Formats: sequence, structure tokens, C-alpha cells
Amino acid sequence: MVGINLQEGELLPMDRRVISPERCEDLAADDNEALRLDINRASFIVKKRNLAVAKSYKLGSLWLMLDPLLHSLVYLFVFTVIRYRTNPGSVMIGLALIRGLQQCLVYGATSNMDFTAGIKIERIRSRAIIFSEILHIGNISFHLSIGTVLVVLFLDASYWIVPLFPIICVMNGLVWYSLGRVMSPLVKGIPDFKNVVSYIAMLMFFVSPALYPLDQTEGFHRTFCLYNPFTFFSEPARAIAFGEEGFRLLDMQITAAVSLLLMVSFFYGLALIDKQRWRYSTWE
Amino acid sequence: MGIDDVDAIRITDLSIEYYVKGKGLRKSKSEMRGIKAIDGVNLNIERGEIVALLGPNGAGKTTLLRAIGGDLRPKSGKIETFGRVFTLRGSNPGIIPHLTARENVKLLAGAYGVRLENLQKFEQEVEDFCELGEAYDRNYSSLSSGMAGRVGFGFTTSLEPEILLMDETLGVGDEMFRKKAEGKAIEFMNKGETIVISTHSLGLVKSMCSRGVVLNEGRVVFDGNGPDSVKYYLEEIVNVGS
Repeated sequence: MVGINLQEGELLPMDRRVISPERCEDLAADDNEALRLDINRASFIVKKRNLAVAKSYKLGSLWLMLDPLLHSLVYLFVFTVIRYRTNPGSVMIGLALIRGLQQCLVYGATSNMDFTAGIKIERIRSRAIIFSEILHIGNISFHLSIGTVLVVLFLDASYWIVPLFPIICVMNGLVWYSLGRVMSPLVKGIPDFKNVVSYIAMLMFFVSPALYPLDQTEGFHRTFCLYNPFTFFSEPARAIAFGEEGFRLLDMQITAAVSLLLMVSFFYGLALIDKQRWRYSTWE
Repeated sequence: MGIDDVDAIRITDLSIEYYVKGKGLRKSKSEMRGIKAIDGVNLNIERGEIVALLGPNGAGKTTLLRAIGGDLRPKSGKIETFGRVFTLRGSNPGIIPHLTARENVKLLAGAYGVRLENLQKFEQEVEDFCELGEAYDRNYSSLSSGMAGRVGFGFTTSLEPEILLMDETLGVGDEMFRKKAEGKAIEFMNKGETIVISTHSLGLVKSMCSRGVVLNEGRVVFDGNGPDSVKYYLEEIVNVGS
């Protein structure tokens, strides 16, 4: 038992930390108190990020929603001019999800640069950072979904899209974030790879069913889309909103296998945070 | 009383290397060059001690503080700390520049575990310590570095850490603030908390520190009381170097 001996037999429990080359282990005196603190810290980190946006502009945190919406509308305008037969609502859904993919993939691959998470005078537990990362991805994905939901409702989408699209966006964001995290050791090891991740994100725009629903793709594009996790989010969302039937083309065995891999990469990617944080602490 | 009840910090055979990139494209451990910053340090610090780390620039003082704070991975050896450890490096506990000092204190308090029932008392304590007047309600980014330092120092010390690591922080602000900060440190000492301070301020070591540890090239070269460590530092490090 670790603690301060106040009087004979009276021991006040204390936090204890053991630092070794393998890990930095925090042993809390009170596990419930430690969990409460970590949740508070995660929420502080997310608030801090939101405030940085909110306080920088007149429109404040409205930009968290406006920015992805305006991007999508610009792309929608351009691509509906080019492909006039496409359902604009379906394109909006694809554009919102692809923007989530790009943001979260790049963020996951490059977010290992600062592990203080803005709390600078006390080392915070890695699980607080993990909570904050999940909250952050959830937050940006949720805001990204709001504008799209409003637009597609205008375009006669089913009301089911209101509760379901934010959930789909958050899941899409978490999947691409964790895949980015899996790539992050490469980015840290070879800084040039950061640019490669941006190119991968850009390429995904064209090889995913973002602009064209799955049933409008063909050949290699179709095959790639069947293995592409993006399809597992875009097609159900289109089906919910407009009754499109592209999701019926998904092969259930491939979908199950890829989903299993994604779950493994999700947990592996999050577990990497603690390892990387420790390993890189003495790197230039 | 067992050793756990006495020791606040226990450092065993600690060595730390920073890794800098070599000529290759990859940053892998095999291609990186290690620079030794701490070399085989053994140190036990008891609860309630105020320990000064002395040494020339590059001796490893800041590295040792960061390692005790859990910010750096050792190459070998082990550090154990007992109690919450706060590191005052610079004067920023995580302040958001767009908010006022008051708003920052309120927001940050939760992130450092101040309970809701103690929040009002905590906020008042920080405000009283800072003595910023109307500037306390101005955006933090508009404060001078001395004023900002007061907020950071006031916030951290009001948290009442069990172990406080300070990196030259008492040098922040004007003479009046320095006196206040020293008073706060003495208050800490009287409460039985542990302070480790890295400093070049020899007067401060003589007047405040119960113990002085002199570091040179990453090694402990002297460990004794405050005045003796200053004497050793001046005679064996500064004079030899000059």
C-alpha cells in the first residue's frame, strides 16, 4: 500500500507512478476518481479545440458545421453540372462522408505530434487522450453531418436520415481515423509520408462511391468499391435517405471480413497512442 | 514507518538519451543518433524536501525534471513517484489565449481535478494570488508575460500538488511577485510537500532549499545541503569553467 502515514495505522492512499523504459504506469489511489478526472480532461481537450475555432471567427462554432457544408455545396455544384443525371442528395451524402474520410484519415496519421493534449503541467493518462480523440472525431463528424442532413431533407430524403446519418458519419470518421493511426508510425518514421497520406485521401475521392452510387460504378472501380469500407457507410446512408439499392450489391462475406479487420485496426490504432507517446518522447 | 511513507521520488540508475535524426530517410532507432542527457543518476528525495538542481546549461537539469514528471522515456533505470506530480515549466498550464484569466481558471480547474464544491474557493485563491485587478478579466493573450506568469503560477500552486517540479519559474514577474512566489513555496514546504527546482538563482538555493544537487554532463557530482551545493557549484564548476 502506498500512502502518507498520518498517524499510526492511518494511511491516506496516494497516486503512484512507475517510469521505466517500457512504459509510464500511473497507479491511481482511487480508480473512480481517476476515471472522472480523465473524462473531465477529455472533455476539456475537445472544448479547447472547439473554442479555438469559435473564438477565431465572428460566426464562432457555426463554422464547425458551415465549413464542411459549404465545401460539399461547391463540389455538388461542380459535379452536378458535369453529371446532370446524378441525384444531388445522393451526391451530398457521398461528399459529406468523403470529407469525413479525408479529415479523419489525415488527422489520425498525423496527430501524434503533441501528446501533452494541451494539459501542460501534469502528465495525463493515455486513456484520457484516447477518450479525447474519440470525442474529437465524434464532434467533427457530427457537425459535418448536420448541414448535409438539412440539405438532403430539402431534397425529399426520408426523415430516418435525421437520426441515422450522424451515427453513420461518426462511425465512418472513427474507422478512417483508426486506419490513419495505424499509418502514423510510418509518418513519424518518414515525415515525407505525411504528404503520401494526403494523396491517398485525395485518391479515395475518386475510387470511392462518393460521387456515383455503387450501382453506377463498373469494372475495377466496382470491385475496389466492394472492398472499400467507405462503401459500407455511403450505400446504407443513400438507401435510408432515398431508397437507393446500391447496398444490395455488397458481398456479405467481404463486408463481414473487412469489418472484422476494421474493428481490429480500430483497437490497435488506439492502443498505439500509448506506445508511440512513450517511444517518441525522446525523439528529435 | 516503511520507505513508501517517506520517499516522494525514487530514481534508480537513470539514463536518458535524446535521439536525433541521422542522414537516412527513415527515422528509425537504428538510423538515429543518441545524445546522452542523463547518465546513471541515483537519487532519493524525501517528502517535504526542497531540492535545488544546480549545474551549467546542458547539465541535464531540465531533462531530469521532465523525466520525473513522466514526460521522457528513460533509456535505462527507473523512477518512482508517490503523489501527484506537477511540472511548472514556463507559466502555461494549458491556458486558452482567447479567454480571460478568470474563464481559463474556471475551465482548467475541472481538467486538473478540482471538485465542484471547492471550485469557488479555488478560483478566489488564484485571483487573490495573481493580484491582477481588472486585467484578470481581460483576454489572456493581452496580458504581459509577467502577468501571464502570475496566472500560471497561481493556478498551479493553488492545485496543491504533492510534488512540484519547477524549472526556473520563480524568475517570472517582478520583484514583488517573486517574493510572493517564494512565500508560496515556503508555505508548501511547511505543509510537507516536496519541491524540486532547477535554477541558476544561487541566493534562492541558499535561502530556500534544504538540499542541493549539482549536475554536470548528466551526472550527479554533488549532493548536500543548499549552501554547500552552491559553494561546490561555484568552486568546482563555474570557476573551473571560467
